Amino acid sequence: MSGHGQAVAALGAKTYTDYDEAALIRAAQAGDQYAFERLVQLYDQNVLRLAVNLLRSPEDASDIYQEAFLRVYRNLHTFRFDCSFHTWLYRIVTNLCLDHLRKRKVRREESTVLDTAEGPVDRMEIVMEERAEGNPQRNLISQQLNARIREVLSTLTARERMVFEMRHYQGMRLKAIGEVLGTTEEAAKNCLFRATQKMRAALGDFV
Amino acid sequence: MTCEAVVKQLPLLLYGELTFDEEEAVYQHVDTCAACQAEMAKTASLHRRLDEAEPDVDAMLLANCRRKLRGAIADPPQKQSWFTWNWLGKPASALTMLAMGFFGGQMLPRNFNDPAPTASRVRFVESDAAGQVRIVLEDSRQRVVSGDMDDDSIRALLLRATRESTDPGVRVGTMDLLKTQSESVEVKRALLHALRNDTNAGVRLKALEALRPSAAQDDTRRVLAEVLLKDDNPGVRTQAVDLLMQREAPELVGVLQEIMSREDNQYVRMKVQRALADMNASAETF
Repeated sequence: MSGHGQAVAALGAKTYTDYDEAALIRAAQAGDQYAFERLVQLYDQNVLRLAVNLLRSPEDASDIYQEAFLRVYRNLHTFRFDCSFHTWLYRIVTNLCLDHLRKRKVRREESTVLDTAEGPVDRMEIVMEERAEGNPQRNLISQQLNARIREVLSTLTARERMVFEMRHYQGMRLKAIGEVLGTTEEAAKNCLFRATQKMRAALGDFV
Repeated sequence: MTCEAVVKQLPLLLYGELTFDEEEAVYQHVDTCAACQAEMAKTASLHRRLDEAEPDVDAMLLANCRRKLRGAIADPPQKQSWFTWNWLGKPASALTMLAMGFFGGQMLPRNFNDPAPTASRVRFVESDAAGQVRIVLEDSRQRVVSGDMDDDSIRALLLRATRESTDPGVRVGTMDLLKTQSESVEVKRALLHALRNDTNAGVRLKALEALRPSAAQDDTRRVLAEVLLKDDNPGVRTQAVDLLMQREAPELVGVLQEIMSREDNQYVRMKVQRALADMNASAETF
């Protein structure tokens, strides 16, 4: 039976839609390539956004995207619906991102800190500023604001950034974020509070 | 409840993360405390600012990621995966599959196998080296329709995708397919529409690329000038200058001078300045 045929059989007369995630997963587990692809498309924009925002490198984010979905592809048959697929996927993605950031730290990223005549300067900050300049908004205030937001995001710890990104831009509940990061809702709350406070302090002029 | 405790709860309140009782306690305090009211307004303002600064997903990056994923799955480094990807098993060079997930509940043109229109969702477009285009549709179940780019139905689906897909990766892929057809009036109209209106800069850049062959035509030039004046992405503006300058024309001088008076991107300014110099025109109006 073809992949699609198997899927149809697995689903009975039922057809899957964007909202029928469990049916999509079962169909993909049964070998339906279209169902798997649909599953990827349900989440991949947010996965990519998360990786880009956390790693601030499109190339690294692209690697994380590949690795995450390949892992999902290879291990989907082990998924037993003990948690939501979203949580399972995000666990993979956030772990990959954290590993990546850790490796970057170990490698010292060819040392992100440069010694200059004005003292040590973090290359990450230079990159952020260059990027902000290369992509200016017409409105000067929003240009400055965006630059400042990027700057302050880079001062957050990886976990704070993750919690903030998942809560603010991806609308995930703190409980789910806690599950993804293998921590408690309370710890996720504290992380979010710290992130918010840092942003408040850094964006004082704009709010 | 103390002010300190309230301040700690405010972000959670705005994210809807407090229980009913916790929210009540916060509101009770805020109602009677001017300092916490101000704090709440500032936190809400911070949320709005952060929303405004939300980065867009780069459509080209997304499309590339999807393409690479398909390639990786179709051609795994290890021996065998747990199921076979028939459609992905095709050589990547011979087949470019573009992920699409657009326009739910649409009417499919009549001349496919079904006698009557069907409510369909287009999920993929793909093209092969021979110029054949295949489109995967989803209605009660998924299916594939195929044809070449000259097929009116295929083209109609692609044209709708340019306007109606919510997925920027799909729109980029569609632009890529349509660029071979930019001499067609309706395709050109769709490309110009995307260049003017698409919210994603990656898609607009693809539309610009597809419009390159018609850059000397008046209607394209009018839109290019408009884009140059209005588009908020410097990359798009830079490309628009390049295309406009494929044909120097005196009527361009006014537009370029106008741009010099308002452009804030150094690279675009430099391009425009050079274009004006090539036309022996001043960079300023008098």
